Amino acid sequence: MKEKRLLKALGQVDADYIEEASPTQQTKRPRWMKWSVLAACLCLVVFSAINFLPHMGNEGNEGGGIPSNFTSPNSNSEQAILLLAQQDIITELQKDISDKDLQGWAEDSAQSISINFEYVLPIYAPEHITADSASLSDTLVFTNQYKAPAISNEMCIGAFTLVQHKGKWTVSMLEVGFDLETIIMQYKDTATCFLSIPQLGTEYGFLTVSDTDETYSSITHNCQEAKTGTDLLTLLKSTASIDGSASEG
Amino acid sequence: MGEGPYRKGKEVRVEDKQIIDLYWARAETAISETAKKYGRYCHSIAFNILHSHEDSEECVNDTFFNAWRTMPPQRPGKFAAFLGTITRHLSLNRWEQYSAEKRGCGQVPLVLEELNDCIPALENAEQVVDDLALTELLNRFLGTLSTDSRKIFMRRYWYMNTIKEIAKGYSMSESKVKMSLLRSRKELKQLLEKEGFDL
Repeated sequence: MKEKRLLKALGQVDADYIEEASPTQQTKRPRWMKWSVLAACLCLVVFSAINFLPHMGNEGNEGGGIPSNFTSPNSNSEQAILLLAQQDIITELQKDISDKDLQGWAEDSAQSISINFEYVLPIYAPEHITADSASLSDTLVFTNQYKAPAISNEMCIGAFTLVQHKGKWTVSMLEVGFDLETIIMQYKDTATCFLSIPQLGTEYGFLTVSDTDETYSSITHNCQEAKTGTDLLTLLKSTASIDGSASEG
Repeated sequence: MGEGPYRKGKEVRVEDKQIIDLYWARAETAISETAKKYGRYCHSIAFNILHSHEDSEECVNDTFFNAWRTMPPQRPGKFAAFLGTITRHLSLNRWEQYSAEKRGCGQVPLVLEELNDCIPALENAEQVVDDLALTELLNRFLGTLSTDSRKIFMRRYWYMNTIKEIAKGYSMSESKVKMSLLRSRKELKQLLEKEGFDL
């Protein structure tokens, strides 16, 4: 009954919204636009080849792995920290990860499973923490991995971890039992980046950086006592010193 | 000025204005002109709900009759939306009658099932919202969506188009349409919860 009421109430919404979505308002793309898009894609491919191929040669790629800082989540500005992956990366992910790959993560053949590519999070992690580290954001390194909501039957069932293997993006892990999509919706307008903190076990959260401070919001709640970036940094410094003294001993 | 309180400046298209003038002049050609221009539009709205050409035709005729009764005094700024709203309302009423008689059909049952996602499970709802406040909230909600998401939402829940029709209409994949609808429903639910509205 409630949904019927909602459906009826929608009938009375602003006429502008009704006309905006009218099926008579939709416009077919002119033919030239299709060719323009193709031409733009070609330019992008040529541009990417000119800019990135020489770097690939220089990296040497020893040991078969890809250096962790090779693929920036932001191809335009390698230093910038991003909350959501940019379109060029998403296109690569979509190209490399097939429906068949994803289906391999389904519980059975009846379960359909997919990725919401609109919410792909570059994963950053705090590294090289020293006693001199002044802020958490200064210690962050892009891990060359992404997290993305896993969708089944139109509901988010958890998160895929996307990594590069032999030059191709692939799914390395599926964590279930939480609605990453809704969590991203809550943070997408405010958070600065998504963190994985392996020093604290399976710990994920969002870091919000302002002019004056840093705030860390855990989504796994392993470290509820750490609220500010400074607190978390202190905790990581102590963890690092314990690890360091343990390895020395 | 002097065009009546509902005029919204340039938003009244000349052709629509002429048709509305015919209503105000009580000229019977008003209905034939409306049918010529908006007959198909109204029919498609009714058909998505009722899935019967005969019933849809009757709803469209009733729409024109309602328009004749309400103009004057009304002078709608958006004539298509004005007619569409009447058609949708009449068609949903007819659908309700049919569904009580176990003759339900069309997209409505599916749409209702989807809209169930938006209903908050509130333990201590502050208020049972009245129709006016609910419409106002829906307008605010639509205003927060991106244009694309809003169009997709309206095509599904106002026009009751199928996912396939929406995908084709906006040249996008069906999964993208589903994803957009899912997100919008979640956002609507969050807003209803945040405002403590019970339906």
